[in-house]
Amino acid sequence: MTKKTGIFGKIAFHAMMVLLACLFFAPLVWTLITSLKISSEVIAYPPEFWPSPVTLVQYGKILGYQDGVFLKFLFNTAIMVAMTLGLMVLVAYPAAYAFVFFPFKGSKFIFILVLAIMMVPFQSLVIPLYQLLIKLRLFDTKPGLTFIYITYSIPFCIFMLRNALASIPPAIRESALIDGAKDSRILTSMYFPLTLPALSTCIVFVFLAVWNDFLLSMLFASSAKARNIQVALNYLSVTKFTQDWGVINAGVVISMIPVIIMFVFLQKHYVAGMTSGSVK
Amino acid sequence: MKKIIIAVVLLSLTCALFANGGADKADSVELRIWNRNALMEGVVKMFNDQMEAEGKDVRAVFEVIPYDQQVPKFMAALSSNTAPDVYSLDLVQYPYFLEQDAFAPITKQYESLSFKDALPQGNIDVARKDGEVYALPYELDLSTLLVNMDILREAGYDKPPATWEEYIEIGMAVTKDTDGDGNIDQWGSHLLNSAGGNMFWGLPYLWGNGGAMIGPGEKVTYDSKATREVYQLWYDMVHTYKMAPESSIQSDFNAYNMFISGKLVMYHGGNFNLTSLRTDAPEIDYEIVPIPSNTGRHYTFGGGNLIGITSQSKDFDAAWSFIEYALSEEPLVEVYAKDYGLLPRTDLFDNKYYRELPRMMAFVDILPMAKTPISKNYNKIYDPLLYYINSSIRGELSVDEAVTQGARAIAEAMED
Amino acid sequence: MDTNMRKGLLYLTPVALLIVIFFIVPVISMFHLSFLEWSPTKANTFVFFENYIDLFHDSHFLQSFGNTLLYTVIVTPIIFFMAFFFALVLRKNTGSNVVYRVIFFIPFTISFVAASYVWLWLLSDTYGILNYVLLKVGIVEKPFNFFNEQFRAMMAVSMMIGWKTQGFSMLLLLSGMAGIPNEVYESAAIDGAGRVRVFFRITLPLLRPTIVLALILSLAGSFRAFDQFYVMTHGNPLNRTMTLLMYINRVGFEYFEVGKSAAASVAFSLFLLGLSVLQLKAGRYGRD
Repeated sequence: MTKKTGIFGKIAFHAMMVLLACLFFAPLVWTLITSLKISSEVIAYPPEFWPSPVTLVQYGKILGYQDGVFLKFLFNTAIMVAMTLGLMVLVAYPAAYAFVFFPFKGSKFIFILVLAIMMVPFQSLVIPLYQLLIKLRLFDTKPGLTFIYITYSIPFCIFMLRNALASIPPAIRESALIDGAKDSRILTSMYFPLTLPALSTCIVFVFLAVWNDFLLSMLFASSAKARNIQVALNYLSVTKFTQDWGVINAGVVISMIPVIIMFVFLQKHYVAGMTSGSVK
Repeated sequence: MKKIIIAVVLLSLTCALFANGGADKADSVELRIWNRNALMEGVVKMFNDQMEAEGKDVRAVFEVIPYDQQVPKFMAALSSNTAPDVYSLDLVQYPYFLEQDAFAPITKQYESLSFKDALPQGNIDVARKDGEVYALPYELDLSTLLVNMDILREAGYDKPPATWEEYIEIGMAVTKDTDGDGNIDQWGSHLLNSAGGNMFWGLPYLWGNGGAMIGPGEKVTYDSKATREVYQLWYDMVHTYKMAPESSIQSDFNAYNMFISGKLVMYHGGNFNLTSLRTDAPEIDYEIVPIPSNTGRHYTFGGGNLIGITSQSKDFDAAWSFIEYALSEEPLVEVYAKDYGLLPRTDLFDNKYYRELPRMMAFVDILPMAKTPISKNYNKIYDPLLYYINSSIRGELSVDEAVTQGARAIAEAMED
Repeated sequence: MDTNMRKGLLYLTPVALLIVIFFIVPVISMFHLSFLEWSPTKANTFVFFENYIDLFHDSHFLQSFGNTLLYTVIVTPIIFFMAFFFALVLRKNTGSNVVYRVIFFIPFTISFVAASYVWLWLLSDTYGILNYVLLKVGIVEKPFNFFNEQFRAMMAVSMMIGWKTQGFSMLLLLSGMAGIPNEVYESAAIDGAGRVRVFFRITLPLLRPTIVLALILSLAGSFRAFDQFYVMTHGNPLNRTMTLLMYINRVGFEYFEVGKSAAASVAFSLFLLGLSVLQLKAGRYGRD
């Protein structure tokens, strides 16, 4: 492992990696190509590799479907992502701060309770959650879904943020307290900037959880008011007994773009955060 | 500190805000209308205009319910006492919801309709319980065979098949490897591979062969010679006559794509395909015929929606006035016929829109062939039905075993 | 009450509210529902253990459990070996390796639904490009149907899942590898140990806690499989790819036997809880 590899070894290595990377992206590229074809070409066999002509007609179809209901679904998803992220910051930060700086009898128990959520995942609670949302009149609403998203993604965030806050030397807080600063101020103006890498990890985590959710949105949102993009893919593409692959592929591309962009921007922090946080 | 207070306040505020869907105004009547078909919105608009013109303080509000959510959404609403006033729901779901007392009887109102005989009786039977009628036909879906006549004529046939014998003969004649690469790329027909498909198109084969799945009183009558013959036909279509591709999981969805690209000659479709075929494959000359039958009597699955007043409606009379209006000539023709939807009233078939699309008239003959299975456990039949049909087609069970075991499984599913 | 407790409770109120309402209440209600016969319009009736008896007599429940196990057995090694391979070849922190890591991680960010459609389109036996390539190259004689047998369908879904999720395990393993001190390798080099020997004697044993963690996480993930099968197979053929979660949803949201579905959820939760305990044990094992 300490031996030096020769120039040929290096070339072979990169050639292999590039080949594998191409293979990894081939499915996505094929989806993108298909989405740029006209309908008759989509289902042509043998398949034509390059679309001729290159067209955005499939995107037009999906965005124009039922007066733009697909855009509505996109909008719903974005709103729910924003609400969950906002709530996450508002709820997880104070909690993590309390776990680090206000230890009291029983706070450990509460911490374990928070972590317990990670052990009983929401997937096994769909039936009671459904009943609960109906009782709270939150069935088929964006807030209803948001509350569930935040409840089931917050343990991870509290865990990450707690670790990040604990790694900051406590002397900073102590000297600030002596200067007369309040805890809420210390948290917002001093600790918040220091924990941004951990926060990025949490943002990616929450973003992926909410944007990519299918099960909850399918079960707990039953109209265009609250359904998200993943359900839209399934619902718009499988109309009664027909399946329009041009539209499906266009929808898949649209649904992937935001997460990939978000990830590429935050990947540095995310990768670092995941590798430091999850093994400890 | 402030932050936490803000967070708590926000949390409870959002809870409170969305908890009340908005309070009712005391004097005006607001009707909530649900339908899986977005066309209903047009009807609701016309109704509101009409009410305003008549000076009545009744307003209807429409919500479209996704096809796959029509039951879950209704369940959720019923159990929180927030069901809509008027719901147009897939008819096969009615027996269960009637059992749950989810709809209000409208027998008197129905009897007084001037056009009551023009409504398909088989569909109404689904919503009958203890001598009362609970819902009326609104949107119709009929199962048929769509036949690509261009390919048929090429092969020397000028009429679509009516009997099984003709079906097999034509099916075999048009199944071909057109480009000579050793793989068949033009299929005579196809099998259904979803549970819903096997109900909707599969049952007419059985009925046309003198059999039935469910008899009167929800008695399962599936274990019969007629069923065995149908299973044998489907098995042979793949293995003996080789006129249908071996099923793959997407075949029901793919069938439409194959039909419009000329790879499938006889396609199990229905009235709902007509509009999309106009844009997807205007060049194909196709005919609409009933599912082939051995006995000379053809059947079609009378599917679609029935419109009814839920038992949680606050204003029964206003809700009925909406249904009465929705079934009248103007909204049906100007909204539904305009979109080539199949009208629930045969006396309105002669309208300017249908005249533009003569193929619609095929359904005048097909509508009287409609039949609908009635069971409050309809959703539970899906799984065993598909399972045993597929077991037989895949050759994992003999036709005899598949029918016997399938009938038993269906009976079991219907027990509770 | 001391200051810490007062402040701490204040700071913890929002999260406690969420947990009580959306976690503890549902957990209790799940147990409660599992003893009821539910109706949307009428009063629920208490039926004791009838739902549980019903459940364990339902061949579909047992079948879905078996399917889920089979899927887990197939998909876990696929994910693991892909991830292990990438982690091993990309373990050095060179600039190009960082880029490769990101590339191989990107499929993880895509949703299960989108990834399922991407692969369904790729694998279709009527229009799929993969079948076209296989035909042209001469590997198959007629279009290969990836979904008409249990094992094939499980394999097809597992390949997709391997492609989509291995990036996460790769990250875990990379971090585990980064945690192995360089001195260990250096002293091995002084002893003249060969690459293979170093791998089996040093890397593998020191990596064991991470490996166990990665395996358990993907195990837990595959037990919760739903989206991929819902989109790609719908449980076909003949319910042989119906997973536990699909069963729970079918009984609860298609048949509306809410009590029985809750009973199945209880069984499912207990099983997952068992897995989590294993995970905790593995974590502790790593620290020792």
